[in-house]
Amino acid sequence: MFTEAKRAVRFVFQYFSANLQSAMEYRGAFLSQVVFMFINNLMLLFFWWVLFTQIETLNGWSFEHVMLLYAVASGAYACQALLFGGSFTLSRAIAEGRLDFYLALPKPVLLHVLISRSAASAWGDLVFSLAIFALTAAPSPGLLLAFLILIFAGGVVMTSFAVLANSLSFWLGQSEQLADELIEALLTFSLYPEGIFSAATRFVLYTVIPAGFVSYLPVRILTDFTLVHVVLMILFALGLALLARLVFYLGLKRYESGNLVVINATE
Amino acid sequence: MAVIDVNGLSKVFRAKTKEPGLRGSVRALLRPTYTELGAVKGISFAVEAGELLAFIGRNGAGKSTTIKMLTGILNPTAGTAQVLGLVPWESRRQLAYTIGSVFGQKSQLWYHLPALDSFRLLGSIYEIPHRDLAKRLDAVVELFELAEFIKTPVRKLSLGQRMRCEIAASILHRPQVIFLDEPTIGLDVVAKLKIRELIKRLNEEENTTIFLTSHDAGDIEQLCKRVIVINHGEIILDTSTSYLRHNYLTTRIVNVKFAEPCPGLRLSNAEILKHTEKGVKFRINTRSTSIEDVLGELFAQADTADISVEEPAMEEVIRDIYRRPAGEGEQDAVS
Repeated sequence: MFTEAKRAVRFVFQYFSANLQSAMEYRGAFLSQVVFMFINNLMLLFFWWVLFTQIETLNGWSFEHVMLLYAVASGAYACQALLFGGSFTLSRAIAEGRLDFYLALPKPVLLHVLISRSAASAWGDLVFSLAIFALTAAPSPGLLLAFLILIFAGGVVMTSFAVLANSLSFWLGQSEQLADELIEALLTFSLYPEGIFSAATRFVLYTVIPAGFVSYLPVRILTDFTLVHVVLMILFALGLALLARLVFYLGLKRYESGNLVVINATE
Repeated sequence: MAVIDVNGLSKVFRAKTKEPGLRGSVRALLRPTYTELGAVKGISFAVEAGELLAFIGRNGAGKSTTIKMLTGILNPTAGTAQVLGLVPWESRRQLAYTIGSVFGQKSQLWYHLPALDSFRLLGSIYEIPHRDLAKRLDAVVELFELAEFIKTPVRKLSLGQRMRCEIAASILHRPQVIFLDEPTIGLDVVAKLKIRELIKRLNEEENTTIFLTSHDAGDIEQLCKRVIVINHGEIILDTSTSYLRHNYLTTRIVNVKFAEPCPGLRLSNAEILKHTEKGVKFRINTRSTSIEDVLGELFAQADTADISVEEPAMEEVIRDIYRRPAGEGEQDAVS
């Protein structure tokens, strides 16, 4: 099992490295994407700063909390986009029959599809995330480690959610639009402070659209550490990943049967 | 020993049907109806180790569906198949270590990176130990003559060079069987010849069984000893390439150059295509007429300087097979 895990990590790293090399082939495009993403995130945070010059707190959330929220959410997004960028285009891969390529190779299909792509612009998100985190407090090595673990767990939640949303294509045919909107909704909700939502909305945000596990809970852990929350965070990320894997492979059975609406039936 | 053994393999797809127009679309949305399409209908064949086989058919005949079932990508509706002793759709990942595939229209190479980087990544996918991979890369680079451009990003390669890299990529793990789906598509004449030469060497030097689909008659004629023709999901012909070449299409074109003009020439069992003062060109069907009889009739009337007999081009033979209605052709098939 240990050898298997080591092999999987090496496999992920090799794809990550190939994706990075591929992005760096176009130095100008790569650097400008990174810089513009950084500026884009900074602009969003700037509006919150303007708001917080007028008010002290927003339902218990200060500007420092919002900064931390942005650091965590953009860090989680960067983990998803850099390591598992294929999660954004999975629906299209299913609809266009591109899973054939991965099915013909001796690696786990889902992992292989997920790591096959990496969004270069997400380096801008990662740099932004770390920079804002460094500004929020004087982070100790321990806190930095906790931060990195939490953004990785958040990235796993986002990736798993994207896999679930995109797997709808196995049953609905071309449902890229729906999947894209669901993925966008998760990211959007992750960037608003939990305090502004009603209890009912919060319930949705900790279940159906799990923004709570992408940013709210990690922020709470970083500001007010409790072991229970850490365990809850890790269990949720793990549980959602297992659910996404289950649903994907159920859908893959339909793909293998060739009866997807979108499959070219006779070729 | 058979490395591919297929028995009664079938694949039925369920496709949604829709009447034309908006009303049809609304009806299909509310109450969808489905129709069953038999893409592959109970095909059986066996391929021996080291064979170089052409599996041909028109677009939509069921070639790709068959390959997808044999590589484990698709599950069949009925029938059985074994590739290297494994049932592909049950042991897909295990089988993947021993087979390779190249789909001419889909690349497995990284577009922006040199082929060498893709080879290294594939080495890791197939879990080839570093030292073995280095040795294997040396051998493959030499066999496919890739040294000149192996460090050039794939996007800068010609289509022919890219296809050489594609095939090289698919044999790094020393597959015993390789499925080549239209490997020469879009290539110029020189590049085609190169790819054919490489496929032949791969088959001869590494004893790799090659399962080839192509629309190019030259690929079939120059590479394969055996041809299976699939049409409407059924095998309509399974025979040797030479049988196909010499016996299937039985028309011959005869070109004759006269020593003296022969204006009144009459040939009772031949169709005269062109008749000038210098010579005559005619077509005969060897199934109903013997060439000797026609030539005897010719020599009796004309003083000839030169004679040549043309066999129909492979392309013409294949076109003729495709044109025949389903069911016809089995009588010609030999195993």
